[in-house]
Amino acid sequence: MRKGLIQATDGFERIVHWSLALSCIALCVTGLGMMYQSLNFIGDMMGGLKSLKYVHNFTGLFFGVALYFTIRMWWKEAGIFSMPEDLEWIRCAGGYLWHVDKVPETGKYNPGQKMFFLAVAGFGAIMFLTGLVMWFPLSFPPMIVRLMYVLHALGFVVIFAFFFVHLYLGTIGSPGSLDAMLTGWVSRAWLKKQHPKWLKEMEEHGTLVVYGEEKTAAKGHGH
Amino acid sequence: MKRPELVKLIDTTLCSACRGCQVACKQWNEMPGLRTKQIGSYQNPPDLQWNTWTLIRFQEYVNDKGAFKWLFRKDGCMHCTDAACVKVCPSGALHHTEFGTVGLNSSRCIGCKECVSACPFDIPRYSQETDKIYKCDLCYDRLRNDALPACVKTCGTGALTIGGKDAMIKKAYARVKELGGDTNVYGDKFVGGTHVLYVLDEKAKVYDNLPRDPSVPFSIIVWKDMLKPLALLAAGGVLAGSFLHYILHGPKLPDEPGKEEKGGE
Amino acid sequence: MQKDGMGALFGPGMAEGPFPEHYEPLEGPLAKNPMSGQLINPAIHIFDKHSDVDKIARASEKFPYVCTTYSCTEHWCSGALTRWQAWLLEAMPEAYVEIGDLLARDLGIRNGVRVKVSSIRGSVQCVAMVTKRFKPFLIEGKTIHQVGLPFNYGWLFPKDTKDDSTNLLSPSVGDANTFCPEYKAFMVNVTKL
Ligand code: HEM
Ligand code: SF4
Ligand code: SF4
Ligand code: SF4
Repeated sequence: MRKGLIQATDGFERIVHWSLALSCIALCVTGLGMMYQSLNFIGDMMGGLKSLKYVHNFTGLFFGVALYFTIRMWWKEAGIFSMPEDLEWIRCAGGYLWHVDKVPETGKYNPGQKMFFLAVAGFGAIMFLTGLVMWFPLSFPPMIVRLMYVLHALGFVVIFAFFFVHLYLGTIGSPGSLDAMLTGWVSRAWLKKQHPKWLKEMEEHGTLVVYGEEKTAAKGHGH
Repeated sequence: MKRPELVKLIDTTLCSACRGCQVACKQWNEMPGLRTKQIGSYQNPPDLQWNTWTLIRFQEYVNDKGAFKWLFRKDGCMHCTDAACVKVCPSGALHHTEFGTVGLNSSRCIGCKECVSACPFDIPRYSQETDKIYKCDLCYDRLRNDALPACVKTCGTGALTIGGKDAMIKKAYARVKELGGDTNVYGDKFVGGTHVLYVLDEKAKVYDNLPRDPSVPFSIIVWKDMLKPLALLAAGGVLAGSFLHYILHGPKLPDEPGKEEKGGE
Repeated sequence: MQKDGMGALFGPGMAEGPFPEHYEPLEGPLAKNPMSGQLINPAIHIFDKHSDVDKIARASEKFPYVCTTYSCTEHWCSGALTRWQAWLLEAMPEAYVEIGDLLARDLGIRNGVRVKVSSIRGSVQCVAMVTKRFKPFLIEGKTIHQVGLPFNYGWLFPKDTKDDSTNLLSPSVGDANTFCPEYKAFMVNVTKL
């Protein structure tokens, strides 16, 4: 089945990704349960709104840990723009919105993905820090605490919206992508379309791992 | 049943600081008395607490002419029309009642303490033991049964009275007119009008712990009136956009073999 | 006061009288009555002139401050009944002595610290309440300070307080007709602990 497929992610990457993603979804859902009284019923599924609050708070701690590993793991690949191709990619919106004859070739992550990563890293950190203060609001001056609530809500607006972009492009918007995070193995055609430069780099450095073939060299992206 | 909007009037010029109201409130609401210390003041407990929803604040004041006054102010929830605490409460534990007052349904409270930092008057108090907040509910249970709030019932000097909103506002202004000087009405001009009014003996700025011009904190307006709808709007927009993208532009598919070098779709 | 409950300028049948007269308290800051030759009420009852609790320190430099006693709203009499009531004890938990801000400044006493109040008969420790409400008297050209204590504390409950009864300070002198004790005016000293 997998013969000829190329490894896009390793197990560690996938575990970290899904820890972050699932805890983030859980935080969004439980957060929504507190944000809108009409959604208070979400708490009923967890034994009441009070339990929901604790689910939210402790999932928040887990999210913080996952976020730490995420940033450590992906900072180099997704946190830094490489010029000028990333800028050109942004100019033509990666070919997602209108027809582009030749989409600039970007690395393992394209600038859209980088922006998503940076938004999650930045606002995720804000969510974690503001959330901690909001957990123990009586230990901080009211003026600070009031600001924390606004930032937490702002972070939610950003993360929640980005989440749906990510969801669409990770599934039906770009068929084949999901495999990269589920099994870790993707087709050459998909890789060529999504990350042509990365494919070339791996081929040049001999770090390409093809299922069923002898590894040509040690794995490329260590942590 | 339609109920009239009520206002409790606290006439500080009539208060003798007997603290009958402070104790009556505990008695009716079955709040315990805790051990305190004498800290050099008649004000005790020193501040509102989870078990102390109303409190006489004692303050020694010398005006700029050198005249001395011992000021008494019964502190407690102001029952705001634009109540910041109700705005932020995620569970609906804090809510507006049919009397226009701000009720507290303790069984719904999840102890998030959002109301504590929201309240411009610094009223709600948290109990570690029950993990809930507490505050005056203007004796909602008594009002429902056509009884006076416990504090009003007990006040022997007429400093505390309650009645229909318009009548009480009129009464407050009439009293200020009668007294003259620096006396003034406090409460009807901000946060949409409070359902607890003061006739103050001195200008509001003279009193400890009494904000001169309280308002719903701006951060709460941004959070609840702007970001909250924006969260749904943004997410909805993204979903709609994704759908349109899918049906108009189509997903990004790997190129078919042979067409690879042409790029595009 | 007469049997009909009214006061009268002419009051026969009283131990002192029949006309009203100003006397100084048994223990006061003055050695001489500025109004007349008679310093104190000659008809008052003194319980036992020779006991320790009936010593008197009139116009003494050792006890320079006038002391008065009273009740707070929350407690009844010695507080022996009301101090067991948690709401009342919470509102008025401990004995205190109210000291004018000028005297407190002279003595270096800060609000809320524990002090010792003593008379020639005894002493009590309690919390200082520094206030502008106690203002010094100007008597015969001399500034005389006054302090005040409630008589609602001391002994039995609550067990963890060191409060003593204000009665340890006051003299046991009774008025000439009913033996109503003179607890409103006597002399004390106040010291930091
Ligand atoms: C992606 C991460 C997160 C999302 C999407 C999220 C979402 C939300 C939302 C929507 C709310 C309701 C805000 C409102 O009422 O307007 C909320 C409240 C709250 N969040 Fe988060 N949150 C996240 C992370 C965290 C973290 C990491 C913590 C703590 C470690 C945390 C602690 C809190 C607290 C304390 C509240 C207030 C309610 C309460 O006291 O439980 N959140 N969150
Ligand atoms: S005074 Fe504070 S607690 Fe009371 S209704 Fe207003 S905002 Fe709420
Ligand atoms: S209205 Fe009721 S709850 Fe509020 S202070 Fe008075 S007695 Fe207490
Ligand atoms: S019961 Fe009335 S007079 Fe007594 S402290 Fe309360 S408001 Fe003042």
